[in-house]
Amino acid sequence: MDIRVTGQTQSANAILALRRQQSAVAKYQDQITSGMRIKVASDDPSAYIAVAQTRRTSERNATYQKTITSATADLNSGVSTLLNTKSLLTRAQQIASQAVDPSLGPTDREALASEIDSILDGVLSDANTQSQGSYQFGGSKISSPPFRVATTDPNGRIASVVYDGDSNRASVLIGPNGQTTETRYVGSNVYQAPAGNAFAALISLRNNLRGTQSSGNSAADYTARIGELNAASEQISNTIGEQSGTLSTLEAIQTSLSNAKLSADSRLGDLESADVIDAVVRLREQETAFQATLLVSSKLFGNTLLDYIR
Amino acid sequence: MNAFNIGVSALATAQAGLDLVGQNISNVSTPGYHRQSLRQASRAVIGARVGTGVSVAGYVRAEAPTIRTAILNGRGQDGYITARLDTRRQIETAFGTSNNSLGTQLDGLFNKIEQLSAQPTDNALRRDVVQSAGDIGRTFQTIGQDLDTTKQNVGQNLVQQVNEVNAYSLQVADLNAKIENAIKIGTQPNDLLDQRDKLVEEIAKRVDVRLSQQPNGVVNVFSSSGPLVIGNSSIVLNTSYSPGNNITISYAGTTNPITVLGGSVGGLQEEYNTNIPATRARLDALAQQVIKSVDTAQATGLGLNGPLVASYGVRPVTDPAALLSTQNLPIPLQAGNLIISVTNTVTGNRTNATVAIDPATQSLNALATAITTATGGQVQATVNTTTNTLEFQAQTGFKFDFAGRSPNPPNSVAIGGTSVPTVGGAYTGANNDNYTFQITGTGTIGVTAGLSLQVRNSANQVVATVDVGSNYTAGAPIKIGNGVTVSLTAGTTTNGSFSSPVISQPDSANLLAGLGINGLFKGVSATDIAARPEFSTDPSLLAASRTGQSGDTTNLTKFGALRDTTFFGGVRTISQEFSDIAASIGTDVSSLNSRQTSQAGLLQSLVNQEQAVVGVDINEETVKLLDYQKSVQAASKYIAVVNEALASILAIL
Repeated sequence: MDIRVTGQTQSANAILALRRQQSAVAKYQDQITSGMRIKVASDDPSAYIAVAQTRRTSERNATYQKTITSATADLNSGVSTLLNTKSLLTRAQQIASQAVDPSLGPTDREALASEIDSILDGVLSDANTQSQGSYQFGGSKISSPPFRVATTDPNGRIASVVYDGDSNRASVLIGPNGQTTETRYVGSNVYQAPAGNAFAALISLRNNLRGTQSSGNSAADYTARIGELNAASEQISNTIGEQSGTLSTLEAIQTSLSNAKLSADSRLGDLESADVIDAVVRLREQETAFQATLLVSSKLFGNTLLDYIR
Repeated sequence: MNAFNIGVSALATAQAGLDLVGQNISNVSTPGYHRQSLRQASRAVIGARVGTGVSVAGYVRAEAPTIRTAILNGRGQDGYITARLDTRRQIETAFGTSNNSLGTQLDGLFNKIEQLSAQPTDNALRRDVVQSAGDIGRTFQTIGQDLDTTKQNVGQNLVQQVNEVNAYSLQVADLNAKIENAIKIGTQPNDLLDQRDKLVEEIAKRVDVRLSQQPNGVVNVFSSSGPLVIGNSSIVLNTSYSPGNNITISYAGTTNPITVLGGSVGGLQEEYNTNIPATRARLDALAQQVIKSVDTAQATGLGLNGPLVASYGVRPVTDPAALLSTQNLPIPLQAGNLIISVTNTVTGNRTNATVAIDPATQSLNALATAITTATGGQVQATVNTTTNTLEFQAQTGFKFDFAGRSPNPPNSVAIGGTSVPTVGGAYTGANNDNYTFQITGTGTIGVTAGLSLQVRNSANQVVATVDVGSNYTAGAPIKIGNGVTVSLTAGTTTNGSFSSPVISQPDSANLLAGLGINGLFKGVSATDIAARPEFSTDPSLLAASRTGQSGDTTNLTKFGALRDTTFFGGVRTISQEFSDIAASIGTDVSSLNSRQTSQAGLLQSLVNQEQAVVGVDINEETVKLLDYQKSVQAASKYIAVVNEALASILAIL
């Protein structure tokens, strides 16, 4: 027996179909206008957690990229400063070589001594250099100058320099699991290491030139000063080498992070973003189905037998 | 003449048929209307006559009882699903979108903390961290309030729905009486039956129902927990709030709660009593973990100004004289130790005082006394009797902190000579320990060949052996592992030793977080979590360091490690827990949405099936209309013919 289909049945079916199709149309319209497939977890619960994790990874990588950029700036500043110090020490070595000449008179020696005073001021300035508002060679004590003039001679010239900084390097977080890189070195290990003390060597050379050094003014003295300056320069070079090596490592990590972030962002797009082309196609499908349902629904209220009764 | 009666009976019956067709057609779109059909019967034969015409034997109401039962079940399911879906959707909205939620804010906080390590003295970056913490507090509170508001609305809706069930039940009982009376006097109360079916369907949307047919058209209505309508009496349901803030439903005059399994009432009750509180509990647990973890890291570090002069707690007890274990502290204390470092601001010397804590035997008052005693009075701990919180105050010339640094000078220094040892760094070992440093050899530090220093832990295992002779720069720190450094100043030394505790957990009793000492947050749950206002005023309080140096970022490393630490049963990190909460809600919404869609389709199919039996078809009624029209015409013609015949007979006279 054929099933009876009443007017109410046809109306209810039409309403249900129209509601469903309108809902689908609205869904794809929203995806196209917002560009997002997953806005809330119910849009795709299984993908939502992956979206959250991927976003977390992307933003965390971005943070490390920023800290590495900052660390790179500090280390570049450090290398640049140390290169300047090294050139100053090289000039001081040249002066020491000149001073070996016994024919140099007092006036010439005074001039050389004055130049050493300037070099001393320059090295002190380098040692107290700042990068991004913090001192570069105070270890993790970055808010106050690491080096100060402890004593001066009767003419106010530097007689000794002391280190007031910290004995530990400062580090910056550059990766998960507490991965850090050291950016601000311990100045006493760079400028006042027993193996190469730049300040002591310069002060001694200056005093030799002015004849106030207890060791005297002989060629052997100046030869010793050259050796000390060489050792100090070597110490600076070692630090430059270490910092340069760190810079290379940071560059590699930065590249790796950039690639990882790109990968994460791409995956995030795949997971979260709407496939606009797919959404447009599906929207057209649903709109067509909606139009068809509207057309069919309009036929529901056509003729009945009443229309044919004379 | 019998003929007239026969004709009149035919006319009357056809007219009744026309009336019925009119009734059906006029109610073609009336929800719940069951089409009726005329039951005709030939009148009784009297004597030798062929018949006495036709009469209306009754009006038959079309019914499909089996499908009706299935529809009632379906309505109950639909009501339950819809109630839960609407509630879950509101809750999902409160938790934000995938790219703008509490989860992204929590990740943002950790990102800003790690970014601060690049420039730890930058005030703008510090403010950023504090602002982020404040935003997290506000978002937690907003979500909590939204959940509470949703729950309140659900509760009000639930009470309303139960009241509606009571109202409908009363009407059904009234209709049962009327229907019974009508049937007893021989009438067919089809319209009353339609009304009753509609009311029962309304009840079914709200609670699960089962019907029991009784004599004389009476229907008893039951839910899974008991009767709602028995004959012409309805049973009233009451709602009440229990001490645990659950809503219970019971029969009027009783206090025993009943269980409603389906319908919107069942769904709303489940949301109110179980699901919303479960979501709220997870949110509160998340907030509490954030507070506890971040506060512990903050409290056991050092801000830019180093040790403290004073600190006050923000988490009170109820009774400072009662045992701490009885105080139901949201972040409970446990038996353990608190290590307080006290610094002499004149000499720079630092000592560590260890306070033994046992909440099972100590009250807050006793704890305050123990702290003051342990520090020799250099740090006074008192209980604020207005707020019932713990407060610390250093005496003049002293400061304190909870960073767990090594004492300066080290303990038990027993080395001859003029060299002075220092133990420093930030210990990163898993557990607190005590290192013993043994010097081997006699001579001048940094000069004499062969001088060495051996470090052993409390288990007497060698941690490191280092050269402090000619290969050592006097005064330079030597890294001995786990973040610890040791240095010896220039000078002489003989065989000797010294020791130092190395501390990674200065507060194994959870006292600092539990009582809100020196933390970043105040509050204990999503209801009241907020960043402490003093950090907005002075971001330098943010503890980036463990050594006290302005550029030391070892405490930021500790903060950062929290993001990868699993809590919540050791399964999820803080961010993962938020994602899981949101995903759980999302799964519920998605699942309920799918169920609602399929339930709607199923219900529509059942309704269509019922309509196929009970619905009015215009075309069918039109055919019947023509039929009855013909009957009227035929009966009228018959009566006219009979009349003519009678007139002919009378004309004979």
